[in-house]
Amino acid sequence: MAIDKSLLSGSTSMLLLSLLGKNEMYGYEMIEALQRQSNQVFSLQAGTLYPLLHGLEERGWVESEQRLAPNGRARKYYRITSRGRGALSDKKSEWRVFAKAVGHVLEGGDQRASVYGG
Amino acid sequence: MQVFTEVKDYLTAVCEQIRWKGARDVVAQELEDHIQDQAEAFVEAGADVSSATQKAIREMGDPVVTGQRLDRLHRPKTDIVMLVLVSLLILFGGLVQYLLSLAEPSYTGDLLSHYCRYALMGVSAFAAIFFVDFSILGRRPMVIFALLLVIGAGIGLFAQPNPTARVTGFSVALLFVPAFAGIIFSQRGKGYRGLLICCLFFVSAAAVCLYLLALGGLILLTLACSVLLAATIGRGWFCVKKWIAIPSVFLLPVLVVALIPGVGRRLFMAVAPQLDPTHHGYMGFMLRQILSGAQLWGPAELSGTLSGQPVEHLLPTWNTDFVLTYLMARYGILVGALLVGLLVLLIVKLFRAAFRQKSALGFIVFLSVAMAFAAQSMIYILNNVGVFLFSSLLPFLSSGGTGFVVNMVLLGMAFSAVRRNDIIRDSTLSKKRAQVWHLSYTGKKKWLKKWLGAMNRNEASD
Repeated sequence: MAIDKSLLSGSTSMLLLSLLGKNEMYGYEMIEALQRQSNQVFSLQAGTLYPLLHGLEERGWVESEQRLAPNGRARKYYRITSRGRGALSDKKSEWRVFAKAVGHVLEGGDQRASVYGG
Repeated sequence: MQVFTEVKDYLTAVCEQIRWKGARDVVAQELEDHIQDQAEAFVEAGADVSSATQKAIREMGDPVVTGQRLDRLHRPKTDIVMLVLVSLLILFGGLVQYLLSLAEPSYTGDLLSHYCRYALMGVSAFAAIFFVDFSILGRRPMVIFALLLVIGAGIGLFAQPNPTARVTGFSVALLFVPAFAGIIFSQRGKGYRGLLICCLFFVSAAAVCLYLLALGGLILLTLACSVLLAATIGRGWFCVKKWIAIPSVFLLPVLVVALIPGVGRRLFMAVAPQLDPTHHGYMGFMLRQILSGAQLWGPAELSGTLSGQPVEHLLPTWNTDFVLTYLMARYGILVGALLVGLLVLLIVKLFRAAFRQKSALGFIVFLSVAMAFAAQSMIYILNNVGVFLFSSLLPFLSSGGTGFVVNMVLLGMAFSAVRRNDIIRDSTLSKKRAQVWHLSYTGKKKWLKKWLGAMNRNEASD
């Protein structure tokens, strides 16, 4: 199903932090993992990914290190920092509140509207 | 060959949007690696190399938008708070020289104009180093270290037994600290052998300081180098057993102190100067007497035979080695505390910034600058309170043109590291790697041929 990309914007940082919370990864690996774990719903372009990652690094939420991958090529690996873990947990709670509110509106919105409207 | 041009065009289009040229190579390298990864995945899925690369480039998105986003993130950085602190210290340095000149009317004008001259030289040196890529310390550590050894030996040959040798020797010792940081960086991952090589370099620098009789410089160098070694061993740079290596490194200061001529007497006099108040214990005794009469604000109230005597008559070298004591005695403890407080603030900022560096080289160079500042200030302050009688410098505040300029050079390195924190990667220091990127970016395409060859072989085996 094609998804409106604007739904994802704003939450992409949280998803990246969440991926890095489990393993350190390089850029391409992150795009792959995001696609796989979302059953191909989220596909992030590299042109969006790298500015986001560099922004997270700037904030001190992730750090990077360039080293040789098993195939002999140098790769820049990103890993989450302790500040990044704190930010991830804040973003997760924020997301839960947001998702619950959206759910309320979508499922019970009419009923509530009638209560308040009445 | 079409695909090579397309990759290059894409990277050029991204890089053109990034105004800071220094950041372009690092960004382009990462994007290029991504294109290769993506293209390889398409080839594995059955596409031919040419269409796989084209598709990989399309998947990257709009290069102009990507470049603009990256441009906003990658700008040369300056630590404004640190810059303000340094500027304040330079201003206070001028004020201190003015206050010193008031004590001796014949000095008026001379000290201050001398200070203005070397402050200008120092600021110019800072600016020059700021714009130089500090990573040269990691790329050419042995050459830099050897150059300093030659300079040190040269000063010894031509300036001995002039006391200038000792004073200049201190400045050479200061410069040895970041040079030693470069040596440590070059010996990463080389185990006990690497550690031994670092120690040999330290011994050669220590020998030069000893030759110049720059004993304060020798102590500063020993303190700074042992802390740098311990910190990097702790971070696992040498892959050695930490519980053996770290305590061993701290044997260096003990060995060096044991080598200093007349160290026993100096230590004894630091503890009990009153036993020989007119000869070896004079300075320690006098400093304690003066400081015990110091007031929070205003001139010290000296007791006994010292009562009413001006401090500058009691303390030889009051206007160089004992500026802090003089200021506290003449104007009050608060003046000294303010100056030391500012300096401590700068040193704390330097240490904190060292741990925020993204590259190993940035970390060790920053730590070396922080240690050089911390060690010289500590020795100076201990000397001024009469517990550790070795000459040193109080950055910006004590007199001396060479020391001022050298300290500004050290700060230039630190600010250069902050400026390049985004773009210095330890791997970018590898010559081979840099060459590969250079070839690809300038279109010589050798690497791409190699890459294509490998991919074609993969295709053939499929």
